[in-house]
Amino acid sequence: MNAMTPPAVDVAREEEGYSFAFLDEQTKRMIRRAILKAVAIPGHQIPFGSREMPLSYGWGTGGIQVTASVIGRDDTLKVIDQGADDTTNAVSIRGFFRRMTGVATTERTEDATIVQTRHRIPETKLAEGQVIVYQVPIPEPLRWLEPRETETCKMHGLAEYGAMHVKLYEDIVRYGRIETAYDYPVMVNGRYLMRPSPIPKFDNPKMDYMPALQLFGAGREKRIYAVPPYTSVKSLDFEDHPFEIERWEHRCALCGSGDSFLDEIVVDDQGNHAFVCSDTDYCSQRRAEGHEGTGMPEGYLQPQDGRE
Amino acid sequence: MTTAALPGFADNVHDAQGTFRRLLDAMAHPGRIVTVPGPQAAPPGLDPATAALLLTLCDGETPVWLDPGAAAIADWLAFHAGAPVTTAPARAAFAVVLQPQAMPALDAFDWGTDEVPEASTTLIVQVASLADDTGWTLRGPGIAAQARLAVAGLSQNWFTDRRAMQAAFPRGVDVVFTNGHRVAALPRTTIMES
Amino acid sequence: MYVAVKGGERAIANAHAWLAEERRGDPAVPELTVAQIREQQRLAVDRVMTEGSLYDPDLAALALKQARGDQVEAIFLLRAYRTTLTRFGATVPLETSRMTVRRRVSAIFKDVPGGQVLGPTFDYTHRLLDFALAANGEPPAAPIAETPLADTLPGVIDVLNRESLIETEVAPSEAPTPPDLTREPLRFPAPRAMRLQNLARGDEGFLLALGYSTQRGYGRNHPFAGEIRFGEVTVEFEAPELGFAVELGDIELTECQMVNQFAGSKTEPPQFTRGYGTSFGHGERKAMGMALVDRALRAAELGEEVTSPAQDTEFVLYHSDNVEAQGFVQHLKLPHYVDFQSELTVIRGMRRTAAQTREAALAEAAE
Repeated sequence: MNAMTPPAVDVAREEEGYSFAFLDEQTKRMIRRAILKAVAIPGHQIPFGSREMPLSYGWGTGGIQVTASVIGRDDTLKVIDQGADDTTNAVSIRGFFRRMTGVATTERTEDATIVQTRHRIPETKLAEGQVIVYQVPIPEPLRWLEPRETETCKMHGLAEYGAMHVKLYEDIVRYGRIETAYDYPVMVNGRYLMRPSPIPKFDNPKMDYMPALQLFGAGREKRIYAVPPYTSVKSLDFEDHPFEIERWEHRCALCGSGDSFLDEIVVDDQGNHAFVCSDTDYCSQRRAEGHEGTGMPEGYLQPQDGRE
Repeated sequence: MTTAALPGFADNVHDAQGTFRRLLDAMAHPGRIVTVPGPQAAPPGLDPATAALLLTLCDGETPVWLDPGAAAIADWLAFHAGAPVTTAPARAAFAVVLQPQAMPALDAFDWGTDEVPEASTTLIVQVASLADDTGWTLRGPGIAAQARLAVAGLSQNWFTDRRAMQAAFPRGVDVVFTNGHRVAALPRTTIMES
Repeated sequence: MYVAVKGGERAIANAHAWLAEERRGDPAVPELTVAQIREQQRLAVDRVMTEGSLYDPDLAALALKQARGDQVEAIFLLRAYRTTLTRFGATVPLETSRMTVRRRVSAIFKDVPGGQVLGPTFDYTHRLLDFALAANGEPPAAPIAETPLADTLPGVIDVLNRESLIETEVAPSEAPTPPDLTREPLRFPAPRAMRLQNLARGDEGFLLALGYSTQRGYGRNHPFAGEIRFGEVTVEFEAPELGFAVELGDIELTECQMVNQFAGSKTEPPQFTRGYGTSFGHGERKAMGMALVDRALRAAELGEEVTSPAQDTEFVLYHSDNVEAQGFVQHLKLPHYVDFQSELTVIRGMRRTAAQTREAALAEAAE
């Protein structure tokens, strides 16, 4: 693929013999009602009758059901996994929607009306009118502290989140810092403790007062939740230990970016590594604008297309 | 011709999707007025937006409460959506209000519980006019700084009741106002000032 | 463009083509037909139908063929197909006392009305590999009894019932239609109808192990196999516009009624209680495991102390589903390098801090 010219919006045709977006209308209505409630109660998990999808649980079935209930013929869809448009599961989910809806797809964040994501928020700021759909493996922020649904339900009902503060404070006592690196818990609108899905904490600040609508779908756990635009999303912290995001001493070897989330790539069997943007669209757009990094180390063999 | 025989959406799948998407936009931006296309025909007394929302949201799983002005649409609702009618506002998933001046107090509807706040009634209130450049001042999730919304025809107590409900969050009802083809939402998170 | 783990649409398509080739195996060996699987791998078909929640032997056989014999994958295929089907309604409850019985045994009485019927069972086979089968011979015909079985064989449990020695089961009045877990999420406290539905779809291995654990003392409930029966039952459907039930056809079904000791409580006299298990087709191991777990999950309702995994409703119901479990376990194959990078950053930072602390301590000691 030519990195210098990101593909424009790509048009597909809808598969015949299936409902538009795969789900039947009654299922869509049920999910749409759940989404509306989720938007009205920001950060609160709404149980829903998650369907058995033709893709595996844990591989994005919640996000897929949310997207399928929201998407229309005029939408343009972007699907990313780890920030990249070309990771296998992103390719697979994008292919599913192209087949089942015929909607246009894109890799350019700013051209998408819906972005379905696993593990990242794009570096390009999302705008009002866009919808970002997160794939969520475990929606319950209190799950590691209390495995029982019946108990966590009560804790949310009472906004009883002391246990989470205690857990984070124990980290500070033991390690001198909070050791949670991803899926870092947030308070939404000052009321609900929420899991942001396993995005790196680097992305947490992007959720705060984001102009786009944020929807979260957990298929296996059968929960939907949401953060409306312009809503307070605060990462938990303490006055003497404020929340911090990851920083790198490196810049992207390809586009020279010093403010994006970097993937570490092992370049040889000596353990040498290079750093490149995790957001492939952001990186290629920067390169198209003429930004350059120091380049990949000599002798690094680029993986061939189509090989894992 | 009975109201049941009136045609619904021209295209069930895409019209419902389009209506939902605009309603979602309204719910995500309290006070914002959006426009929905509406079905091919609506029963007498029902604005196109009200009819479109009911066709988009209701089915056999959603008991609907109808105010006296909306009682005549029960057949139409049963035929197009298969939605059962309930006479108890506190049991309703949706409530349709065509006579806002005389509507029951907000706490007559289901507010859900602290643990299950989503088990609450969504009110669809058809009003004589909607404007977003005057009226109440709105703040809260979905609103960048502040929004305005003016709704004609509500009773004197409505604003006081709605303000009182704010303290019960996450319990409460979400309200969707309709007028003609237009829709504006007031989810329970919105803080209202006069 | 690059990302360390990469796979374009072409890679996925090629992988699928390779998979299809592997499924076929050596083309010199004749291809299996769906009918052969349906007839000759029947117990595999039965399990796929049971945990796939769809009684369709042909589709289950097709799923097994497509899944290369992998049961959980076949169950997944069948379920994903099932979701797309229109629902017409719920059938009338099956009347298993009117089952055309092919096998019926009870361990709690030497003889029972209608007799013990051994039927086609592995139970007393000596597990010796039958090399004659490798030669594909036709088996001799099984002898046929001189007198046929009675049309109706009353349940063994009914005998105990006459003395009120066993609890009477009453249909819950508040919810005549059982919940449908394929349309609504689990909710707690889960009523028994919801639990049984979850267990019926649950992984056989999981239920077998949990049932076994109760026998070894983790939530012991003193079980006896009251009755196990297998045969054909008629499925009836009552269409609202007709006002009476019409027969849709017969299905094969296994049912297990476990009888368990119960010491009694403040309000209940000592009596026997029940655990219930069922499966489509012939699935005794599944039905028995399920019956043990069903009884274990009634601990709270019967005022017993909940101490063991098999008695823990949330633990059992949330982990019984193999389609859910396989997905989440296997999703670890998906790239996680962004989160791993975050962890690396944190661990490196923590190691740096620890090293600085140690150096500072050493420097202080040297002064």
